[in-house]
Amino acid sequence: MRRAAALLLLLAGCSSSAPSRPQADPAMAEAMDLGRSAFGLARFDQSQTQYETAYRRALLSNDAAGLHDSAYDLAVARLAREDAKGALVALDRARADLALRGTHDLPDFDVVEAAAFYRLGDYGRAFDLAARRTDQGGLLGERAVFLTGMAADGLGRGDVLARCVGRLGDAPRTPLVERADHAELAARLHLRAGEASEALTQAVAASERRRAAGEYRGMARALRLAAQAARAGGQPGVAASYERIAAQSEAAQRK
Amino acid sequence: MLRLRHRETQAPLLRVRYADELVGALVLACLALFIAAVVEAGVLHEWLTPAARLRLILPESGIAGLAVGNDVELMGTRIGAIRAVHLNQNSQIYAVADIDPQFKNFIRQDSTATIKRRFVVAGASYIDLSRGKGEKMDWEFAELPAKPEPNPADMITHMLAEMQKSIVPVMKNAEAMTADLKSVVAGLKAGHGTVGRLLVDDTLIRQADATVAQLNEVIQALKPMEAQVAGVVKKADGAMGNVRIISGDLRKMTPTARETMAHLDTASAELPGLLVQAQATADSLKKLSDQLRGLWILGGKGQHGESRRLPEQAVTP
Repeated sequence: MRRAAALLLLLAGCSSSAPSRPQADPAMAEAMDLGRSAFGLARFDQSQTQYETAYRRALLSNDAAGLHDSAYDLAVARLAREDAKGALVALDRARADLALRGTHDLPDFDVVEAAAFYRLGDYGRAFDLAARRTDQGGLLGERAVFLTGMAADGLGRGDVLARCVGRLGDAPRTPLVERADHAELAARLHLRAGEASEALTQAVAASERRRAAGEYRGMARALRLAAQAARAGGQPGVAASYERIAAQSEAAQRK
Repeated sequence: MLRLRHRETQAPLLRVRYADELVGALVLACLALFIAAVVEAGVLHEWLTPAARLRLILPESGIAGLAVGNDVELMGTRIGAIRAVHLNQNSQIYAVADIDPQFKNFIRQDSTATIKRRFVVAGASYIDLSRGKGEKMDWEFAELPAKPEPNPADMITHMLAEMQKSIVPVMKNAEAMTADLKSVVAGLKAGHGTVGRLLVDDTLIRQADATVAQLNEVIQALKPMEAQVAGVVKKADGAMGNVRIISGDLRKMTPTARETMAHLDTASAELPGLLVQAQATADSLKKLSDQLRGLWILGGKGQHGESRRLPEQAVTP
């Protein structure tokens, strides 16, 4: 009997994990999987195409959860393609479609919209959208805090930026992305306080962490921040080097 | 001797008691009959209706022989006459014409008055009015400008002058050309130029004859090759026939080729998706291997289920 129980436990340990949510429409599930895989392979155009297909399938099957997921992924894919306006359009359309189906509170949409407005230089709207979602738990809340800090820096609100830095962890066991966010916000805070060397250190740390996490766009942004800090610290040569490295990375992303 | 018999005592044949009264009545009856005939004939109406008066502004160049009493015509019909010719304060000459009132309706503001001569260039002048179709004339002060008809003699003279202007340069050119031709012919006769030498010197002709003779020899030499050329042409004809057959086959194959191209097009359109799918499969295989590696039984640490949503970290500013 004990042997049988041990065998069952062994089989249970060997079993694969179940998907988080069963998909009713196989075509939509396939499009979502393909979109995620394409996104992971940095094929953002194909990813966008697959998420648009998934959104159409969700409309076809009147799947509100599918609409929510596919619209979120579609907006993120468009952001990755440097199409912030397209992301906003996709989210607006999805908001209307979900409101038709009784879903109104969409915190993840707010966070993606905040990122899109930040990219378009509308720091005010980015701040408003992100700041009201900072109390969300998990990674979404962390992204909201980071975006709030970035928008606050754009608006020149150092006090809010300092609070955001305090809310993001920097412990060694903290996830790498969160540590990178903390370093970038800290660098901005130091730069705003006129502490150029500390800002440079934090910005370089942020770029290293972004590179390690595979977030190359954020890495280039952190390198430009490092260039700003170096220039503020009277190191124009170092600043020029960081600027050039950032420009090369951005040019390679565009190709 | 003639003897007159006086019959004073003879009685009247007919004694009319009221002869004077009867005669007077007859005269009155005749008079009444005459008046009735005049009224019936409309003569009185014509006498009582005043003539319409039309002022004709004559050209400054002259009145073209127009005189009092000349006719005024409309559509070939005499409708009045020139009553007077005057000079106004603006030194304009105008004629006053009496117009038959029954033609007033035909004379409008767009009517034209032309001073013509009865026999084109001779004869009495008259005014020829055209029938108007515009607004009615204000007969209280009816006025029309009159123009003289162009004189054919003047036109002919003008035309002759123009012809003279055109012909004289042509004649001069012809004279110059004739002189040039004369000098050219003289040059040719003297043997100047290629044509002149041809005319004077027969060397070129002899050379041409020799060339023709050589050409004849060449043609004779080429005749044996004609058969070979014919063979080549025949082969070329056969080759063209083959090409025609091949093109026919190609034409038959065209629909199939088009269909094949359509299939290729469809297949190529699906290629990006297929590629992504292949990449996704490879990615899934990688994940599977990761999952296998993470199995507790194989020494891994296990793993949790994965959402299809993109990670929040992908939301970057």
